Parts: sequence; C-alpha cells; structure tokens
Amino acid sequence: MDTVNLTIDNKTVVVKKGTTILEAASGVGVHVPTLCHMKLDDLNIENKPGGCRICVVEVEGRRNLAPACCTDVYEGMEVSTHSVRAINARRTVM
Amino acid sequence: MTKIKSPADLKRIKNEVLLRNGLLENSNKSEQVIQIKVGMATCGIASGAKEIMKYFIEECDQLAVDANIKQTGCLGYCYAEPMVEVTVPGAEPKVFGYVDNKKVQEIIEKYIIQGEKVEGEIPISFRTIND
Amino acid sequence: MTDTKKQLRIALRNCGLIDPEQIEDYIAQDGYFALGKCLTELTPEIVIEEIKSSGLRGRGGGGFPTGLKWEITKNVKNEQKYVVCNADEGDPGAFMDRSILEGDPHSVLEAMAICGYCIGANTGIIYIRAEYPLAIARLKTAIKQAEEYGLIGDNIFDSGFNFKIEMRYGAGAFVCGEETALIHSMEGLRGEPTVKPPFPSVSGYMKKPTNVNNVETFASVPVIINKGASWFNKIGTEKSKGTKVFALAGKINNVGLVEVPMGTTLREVIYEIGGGIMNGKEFKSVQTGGPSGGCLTKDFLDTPIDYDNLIAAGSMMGSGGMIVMDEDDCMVSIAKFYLEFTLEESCGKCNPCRIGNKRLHEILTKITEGNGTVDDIERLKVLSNVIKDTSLCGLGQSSPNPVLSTIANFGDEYLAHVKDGKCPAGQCKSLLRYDIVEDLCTGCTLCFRNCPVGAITGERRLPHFIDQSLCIKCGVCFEKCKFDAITLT
Repeated sequence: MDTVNLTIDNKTVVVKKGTTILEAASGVGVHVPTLCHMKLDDLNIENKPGGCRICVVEVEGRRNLAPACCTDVYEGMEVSTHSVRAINARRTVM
Repeated sequence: MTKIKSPADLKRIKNEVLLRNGLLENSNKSEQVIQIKVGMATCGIASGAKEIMKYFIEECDQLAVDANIKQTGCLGYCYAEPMVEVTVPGAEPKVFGYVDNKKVQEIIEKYIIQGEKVEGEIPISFRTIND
Repeated sequence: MTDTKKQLRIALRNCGLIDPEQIEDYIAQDGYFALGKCLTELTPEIVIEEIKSSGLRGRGGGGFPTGLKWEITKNVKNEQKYVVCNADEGDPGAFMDRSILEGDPHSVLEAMAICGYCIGANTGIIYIRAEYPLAIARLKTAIKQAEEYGLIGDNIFDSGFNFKIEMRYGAGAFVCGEETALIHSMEGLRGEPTVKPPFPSVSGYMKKPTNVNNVETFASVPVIINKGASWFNKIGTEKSKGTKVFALAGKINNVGLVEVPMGTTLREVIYEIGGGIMNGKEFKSVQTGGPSGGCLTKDFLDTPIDYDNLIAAGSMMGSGGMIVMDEDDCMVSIAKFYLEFTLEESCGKCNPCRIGNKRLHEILTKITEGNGTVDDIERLKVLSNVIKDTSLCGLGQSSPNPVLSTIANFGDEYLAHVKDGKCPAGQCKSLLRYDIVEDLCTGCTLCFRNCPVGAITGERRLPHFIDQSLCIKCGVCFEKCKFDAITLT
C-alpha cells in the first residue's frame, strides 16, 4: 500500500494514501473540530459534504484554507491545524 | 446530403461558396451580386433587426435591386444596433449602424443605386486573423 | 494594418461575417479544416502539444492552461470520457459566449470534436443556459447540419473517430458556471459544487473523466490548429497568449464586444475602442471580472491586461465583463450591488458564503443608510478575508473581492459615508438632504404641489420648508424649482 509522509503541526506523520487530514491528525492526537462531518463506524456511514468549514486548517503553499475532513493528504504536505489564521477563520465561521 | 470524407471535400465546398459569392479570382464578375448582411443576434433582433431585414427584402424587390440578403451574428457594436453590412461588388464592405426604415431606403437609393456616401457609417476597428 | 485598429478578432472571427445557420458559410472561412487536419494528419499527442505550446489559457476566468487540462484528461484511463462546453454565462454584463454561439456555433462544435479526439472522448455535451433561446436554436441547427455532412457522428473523415454532441439546459444559476456544480446540474442533481480534488478531469460527469472548457476557449482552438501555435503565441504577453473578448458596459460611449490582444491597456480599451466616458464625465473606476472581480482606479489605466496583471491589481480576468463607472457612481453601492448578486446566487452549501455574504451585505446596507461606523469598515475587511479563505468553491472565494477592492482603492468614500454621513457621488439616498434656501424661495408653491409625500409646508409667497422626517429624497422638488432655491447636500 502506498504511504504518504507529511507533517501536522510539525509532527511527522506517515499514513496510507487517500487518508484525509482529519484522519491523519487524529492518528497523532491532534484534535481538529468538526461540525458537519459525520462518521458512524457501526453503520459504516460517512458523510462529509465539506459545507460547514469548521474544520479548516492551513496548508503550506495553498491559497486558501483546506477543510480537513475532505482534503486528502499528499507527499510533503505541511499542515498547521491551529495557526492564528485557521483559528480566526473557524471562530468567524462559527 | 453527401458526407464529407476528406479535407479535399471541405476545400471543394469552400470553393463553391466563394465562387458563388464572387470572392475567387476566377469568378465571373458580372454575376456578382450585392451582399447585405443584417446583424441578427439576440441583441440585434431585440432592437428591431427582423423588421429591418424584412424591409430590406421588400424594398429591394420594389426597386428591382438584385441583392443577396442574409442574416449574420453580432459584430460587437452593440451601441449602434440594428446594423447592416453592405458589400457592393468591387467596393469595401460598409457597415451602417442605427438603421431604421428611413435609413434602409437611404442606403438602397443613395448608396447602392447611386453610389453616393451615406451618413452613419461605422468604421471597422478590428483586424481579422487573416491580416 | 493600421494603428487605429486595436482589436484583433480570433474567437469572434466569424461573428458578423457568416450566416450562423449555414454550415457552408463556415466551411468557406476554413471551418472544419482544423478538424480535418487533426483527424487525417496529426496524432492526439501532437495536437495537445500544439495547444500547449500556443499558451492558450481557459477563457472562463480561471486561466488554467488548456493544453495541460486536455493532457491530464487524456492520461486518465477510462473507456468513456466526456467533453463539456461550459456555456453557462452568468456574469452580469458579459455576453461574449452568447455572441459566439449565435454568430459562429460551428467553431465551438469543431473544437469540441478536436478535444474529443485528443482526450479520447466520443461524446460532447454543451451545457447552456435556457435563457439563450436563440443560441440554443442555432446550436441545434448547427449540430444537425454538421451531422448531415458527417462532420459529427460516426467515422468522421474516415478516421474511425466517432463523436456526438448533445445539449443540456441550465436554469441560469450563476454557481453552475463552476465545473463541479455544472456537472452535478447536468446529472440532474442540485447545482452545488463539491470539493476538488477529484477534479472533473479524473471524475466528472457520471464519474467519468470530463474535460470542461469555456465557449471562448473552444472558439480559439480551430485557429490555433490552422495557423499554428507559433502564430498564436506571438500575440499577447509573456504568460497570457492570444486575445480576450471583453464586454464593455456601463458609462461608456461605445458599449459592445471587443476582442483585443492580451497586453492591451485598459486606457486603450476604454478610450480608444470604447470611445471614452459618456457625456464627457470623469472616469472613476472600471470593474473587471464580474462579481468575482474588483474595481480598479484610474491609476491602473495603463496596466496591460492579462491574467496575472489583473490579479496583481486586485481584480481578475473573469469571463471578461468590463463595467466602466464615472464620477456619479458610489463605490459602496457598487460593492453592495455585486454582493446582492452573489447573495442571490450563492447555493447555500457552505457556511461562509451563505451567511458571511449576508453579513457583509448587512454591513454595507448599514453604511449606505448612514448608520455605519469606522469599525464596520474593519469588520468588512476581516469578514471578507475569512470568506475568501474558507469558502468551498470559486464563487465564495471571490465574492468579497468587490468589497475588498473598493475598500482598498476607494477607502475615502467609505470614510465619507461613516464619518461625515455623506455620499460623495450622491447615490445613497439616506445620506442626502434637500433644503430650501429662504432667501431664494419666492413661495410659488410649485414644490409644495409636487411633493408626493406632503413633506413641504409653507404659505403662498412666503418661504417654504421641508420636513426632513417626512422627506423621501425623491428629488422632485429639486427638479421642479424654477429659482434654484433648493439645495442638495
């Protein structure tokens, strides 16, 4: 299985290709708040419309903020989940 | 209709049309007719191009002017709609804007029949890909 | 070739020249020659290489290199692929796509077939708004004629290449100009955007690889094939090649469509081609890029127009609307007007766009009604930046642009509204005040008789007065007064 190396809040993470930022972050204990993202493992239901924009995080080199729940990771990605920009945006969106 | 199966077929059709419109070197000059193109995009129609075209056809019939009147798209001079382009054999095409019924008569009687200058001509301000 | 001819028509080359309902007319202008050349002489790789080296970029607004898009779609492996033509033109004041479809529909069909050949698609779909009935009718005629000649259909030019073109009608939602929303709308779903990636090139219509291009982009393709990429990339600036059609509108003398080479300055377009500002007024601002663009001041008049320069100036190319404003236009009201549009057109899927724009609009309304504070301007900026940062699709990401650019370029006007309670352009009615100058009023009662709300009182032959609490600032008294006794401040 292909793996991807990235950093989340300066922590190096190695995850499977096709993982979202949200999943990768929870794997290393970084909490990203969500609202519209719904995952019911028991029922095998996952709904991520990416509409609420609460989970936005800052990705190095990207023009705007990325929704963590439905953005796939890529090799060399640098994510900051709690930068001032991301937190301000989340607060305003809320 | 015969299907087009090669670029040569395309060239043949192109030549037929050009010949018909008298645009080829070897086309018969005496057979060339006056070309009148009326701008008939939504914008032209909204400002009355359909009536203008009808009037052109009627007037040309009445005055026995042999002209090929057809519709075309938008020339982009929206401020001067409705507009027509008149090509008299041997002369550069002329574009007239703000055309109404009175203007149609003026164009036919003065410009087409007598070859006089008619007010309201719009200068062509663009180059084409062939320039 | 004289200097007075600033325009160069590539996408509009046949508009106004040929009869759009006669395929032979189009063929006489070298129509379908490019398709013939591609199918009989060139491989898809060569054609894509040609488009790439021509430097053609998407004319719908984003400016993504067309050749690269075709290559990406070509390289995705799938038996079924689609070519989609985005004819969902929604920018207020822009109508170049309509003009092309009405004046030269075959150029789009030809280019779609070329694209289909390159990426390996056998179906093309034109997504067009139902508000363009004439364009739809002419496209239908064009498709029928091309099919009769075998230029669309099975085994075109005996090459074994099959291509058919269908049409889908949109209901005119602005957001459906966004690729993913457009595709959803075509599938019969709600016209809402989804997160990219996956891009339509990988998973688009019916989850198949789909290449979406704008009408104007397609219309430029046959010329590139016929005249060669090296001819095309000599036109324009370093990073933006070719020409762009602009729809000139607003307070300008020669309203209409113009097509100029990239790198032409705004001054040339507005003054030389557009004939200057109406009624000899002063130029104030030009708005490019529709509701996603920004308002540029006269300092930018000499900026050469291309994708990157416009973005650097705080606006964007957009689909090519160009709205000129003169000294009588209030920039706060303009920003408000565009927000009203985005507010209407927002699909409501993501929060920042749905609620954020509403809030922006409320603050702007507050300012134009004279209840704004200095803090409100700061609030507008913060909120605008967050909306740009967090919205899902291009509509939301660019919707605050008119606000941000008017604050940056016309900050004094905002300050005049909130600090002095004045609208410098005299557009915001709540900030106007009509008064009667006692010394000049003869008591003729003309204003009294014409006031629709009875706000004017006074005895005959004695000075009259306006009750400000009743006045609706309609300006009737101002117009009617024969003695210039009414002032407007």
